[in-house]
Amino acid sequence: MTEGRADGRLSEETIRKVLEERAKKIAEPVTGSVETGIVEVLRFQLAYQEYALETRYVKEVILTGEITPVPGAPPFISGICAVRGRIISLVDLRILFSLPEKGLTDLNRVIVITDGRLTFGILADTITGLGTIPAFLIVPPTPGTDLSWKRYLKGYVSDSLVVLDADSLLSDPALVVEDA
Amino acid sequence: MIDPDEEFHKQLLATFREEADEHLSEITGDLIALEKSGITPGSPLVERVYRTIHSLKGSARAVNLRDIESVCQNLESVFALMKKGEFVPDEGAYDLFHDAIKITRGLLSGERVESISPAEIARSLRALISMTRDLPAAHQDGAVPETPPAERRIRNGMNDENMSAGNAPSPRDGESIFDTGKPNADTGMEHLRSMAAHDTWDGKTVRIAANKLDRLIAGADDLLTTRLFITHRMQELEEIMTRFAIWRWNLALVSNDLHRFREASFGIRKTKLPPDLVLPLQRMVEFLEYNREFVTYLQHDLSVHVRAAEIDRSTLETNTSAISDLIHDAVLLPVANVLQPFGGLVREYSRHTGKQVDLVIEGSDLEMDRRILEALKDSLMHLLHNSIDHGIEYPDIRAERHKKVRGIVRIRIIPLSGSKVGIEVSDDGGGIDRDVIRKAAVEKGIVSPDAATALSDDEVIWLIFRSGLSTSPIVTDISGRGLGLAIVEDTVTRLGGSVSVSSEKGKGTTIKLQVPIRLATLRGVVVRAGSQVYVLPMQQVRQVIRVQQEEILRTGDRPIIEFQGEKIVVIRLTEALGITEYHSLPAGTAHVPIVIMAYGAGQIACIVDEVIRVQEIVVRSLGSQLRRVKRITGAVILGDGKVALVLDALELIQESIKGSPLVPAGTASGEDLRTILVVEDSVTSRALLQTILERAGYFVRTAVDGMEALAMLKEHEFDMVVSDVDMPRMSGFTLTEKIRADARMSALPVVLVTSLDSAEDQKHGITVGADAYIRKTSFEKSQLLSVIRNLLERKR
Repeated sequence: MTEGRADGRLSEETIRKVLEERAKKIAEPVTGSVETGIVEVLRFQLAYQEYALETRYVKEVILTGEITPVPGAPPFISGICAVRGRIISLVDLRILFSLPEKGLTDLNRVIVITDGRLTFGILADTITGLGTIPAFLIVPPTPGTDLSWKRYLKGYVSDSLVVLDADSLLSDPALVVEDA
Repeated sequence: MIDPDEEFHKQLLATFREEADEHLSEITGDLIALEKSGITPGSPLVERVYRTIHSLKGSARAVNLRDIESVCQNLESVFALMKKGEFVPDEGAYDLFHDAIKITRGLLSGERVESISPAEIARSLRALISMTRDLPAAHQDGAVPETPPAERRIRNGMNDENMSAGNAPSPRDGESIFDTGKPNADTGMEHLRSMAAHDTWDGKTVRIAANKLDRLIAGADDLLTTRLFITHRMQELEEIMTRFAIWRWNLALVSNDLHRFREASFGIRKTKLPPDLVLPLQRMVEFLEYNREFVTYLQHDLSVHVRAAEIDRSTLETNTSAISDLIHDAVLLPVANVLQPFGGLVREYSRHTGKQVDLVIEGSDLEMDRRILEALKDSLMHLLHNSIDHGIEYPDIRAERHKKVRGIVRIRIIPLSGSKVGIEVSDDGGGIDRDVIRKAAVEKGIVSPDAATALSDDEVIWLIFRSGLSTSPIVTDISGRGLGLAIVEDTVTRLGGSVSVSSEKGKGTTIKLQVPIRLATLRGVVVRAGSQVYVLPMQQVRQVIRVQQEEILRTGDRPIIEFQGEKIVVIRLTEALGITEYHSLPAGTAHVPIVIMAYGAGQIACIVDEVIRVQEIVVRSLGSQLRRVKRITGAVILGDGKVALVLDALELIQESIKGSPLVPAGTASGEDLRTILVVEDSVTSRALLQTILERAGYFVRTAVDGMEALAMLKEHEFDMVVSDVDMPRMSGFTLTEKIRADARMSALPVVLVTSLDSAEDQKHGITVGADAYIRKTSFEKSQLLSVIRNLLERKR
């Protein structure tokens, strides 16, 4: 457990560094090379599948603590937890994506993503790393794909890594709960 | 990029708006008083209005709002004449003044007042002036005779007629630095200074941004939370101290043995020992003695520190309370601040309806929390509208009824005991006709004709609130007091207050609001229902009681209890929240804890599993994603760091009353309810396993690792253990071994659920005595459940 905590902190720091570097890069004038695009991502494991999220939407990664379920919230909301005195909601992508229920994993990490307006945590089993992916390697889903969560999908990298579109997750009104 | 100048200007504008708003309210109030009292020569009211207008004009100029400046300029000129007694306004003139204020407000908020333009107002005002000029003693218009002292400090390089009037104030030393720099910023700074000066009028006050105050309040609330944490830590420390007692007891048990050892090995009763043992034994005994001393000192030091910490804690408690109270006091404002603009509203609205109404305000110097006042503003406005619309009769009718032609709407602010305030809105109008309500209620099918006649007059009055609850506009049609009143009631109840109505036909109607003076730190009843802890806001908790099972009457549609002569619907809190997969422990205790919640006219009795305590709560939002979740107000971080949901009493009551009759409490009968212990260190897996098993009808308890599980197994009876393998402190393998080694538990079925996939691990699991070994990678609900069913069958 203690090792895990150290882990979490480490990756948090790394993320911040990456974010800062990225901010510097963004501040530079746009050149051709930037436009060809390298996507910086945080890779994580969830239900025996590896996913990637653009780091610029990732605020921090924390260790999953006690989760308080919220009765009446949609099933993809696992519940809420407190991060330094603030409450955030936790999203279970397996339910949001209607992935077939198989296996039991630990969801030991919470990846907090934000676009400044909306903030929530995504439950993940483990963080597998930080890295860059050349944008041209991301193969968008074939137009015919009949996937319920296609709108949250940027594409695949060599079939094994699913690159998610954090922006579409954060801007989808369907993910915001506002009961009448 | 935002231009810093522009940014600064924006800030100035915001400040100006706030200031202007106050000025306008003041002017409106004074205008109404003036009209009522009439103008006497040298009237202080005229003087005051004049000065206020002048201040407003100066400020408007400073932020370059020419339209407002021009309207004020003309108003000021008229008032200058009034001061000299050269102009006496008639009703039309007052209308014009109010219109001018309205237009200024419109200009401020950026909304256009449709019918009139600022230019028109200015023209009409000028017309007033020129009218007086025709009089013999006419005075030069436009020229401002003297500069009110409050405005002296406004000066700048721009064309200021104060200066041209030869009245330029002598520059003061400290201000000369503002004479250079950009004109825009210059005026701004000057202006801010002047506003600061303006605000020192009644002793020492400073203007503080409302959001800063709110942040201060939030900060103070956070302090309260931290204090709660510390209190919790202290309790834990105290508990740790008590553990020393056990240690002492154990020490006492062996002290005799120790003594004998000492005697035997190197004391007087020295027996023959193998020589190579003497020294080690001596060292052992010495170490044990050292140990005893060490622990004793440790205990002593610890207890000293715990005591000191406790003293610090209580000091902190006092201080944080003081700070929190002070800050909450700081947001107290005189009620007049909110009520002032109402005078204008009533005047205009009644003229608009063709009625003659005076607004009388009593006790408006009482102070209340700004946030409560803000929240009440619309409600009060609504009540006033109602009184004018539906209460006060038209002048001819009033005359017929031998009433004064001018109706009176009265707002009375009365301090009540218990930090509460009563706000009464009453009118001397026609009152509420019960029979009309009865008729309407029957027509709309709210009550049956028989029930309607059976209702007493007082009960009928309550129907006007009921209509809101059922969202049927029954009374809206007849008196307009329907939905609107329900909203008023909702607002007031949310603030922790109550509403009551009394009405006498022909004499008038009084609506009494009772609200707290301040949004005090909320208190909540912390309860456990199922596996979760919830907080019920104290304000809506009527009573916490314990009843015998048989006191819950299950004869009708829904279970009810009788409490203080009232029949109240009983519902399980978990059911009210829509949680079904939950089983209570077989009813071991005959007493059921019940929390009765009341909100306005509705109430329910909630069965919970445990009432834990009452504590201060700081309600937080559920985050940006969960903007609004039915039945939930927010979340609270409890002393132990856990997050509990704060429930919305009103919605809980509405939803449960609306909902279909529920299955009587205690769904699973005690006999075949099997208890399973789930041991898992991962929070989510633990919760998932628990949910799966609870849904399948088992009673589940959980432990975070083998150690905790073993402790629980020794204390309670279980029918099965479902455990993870890889856990801190004690693994599932070790736990299984310990279970098998214990005579009492050796037959207890153990299912290991693990991420260890290898055949070796599986073999290990079977060797230590697990009954089944389920891999997480291929985990399936149905598989787990069938394994469990089979094992339990076998056990039987």
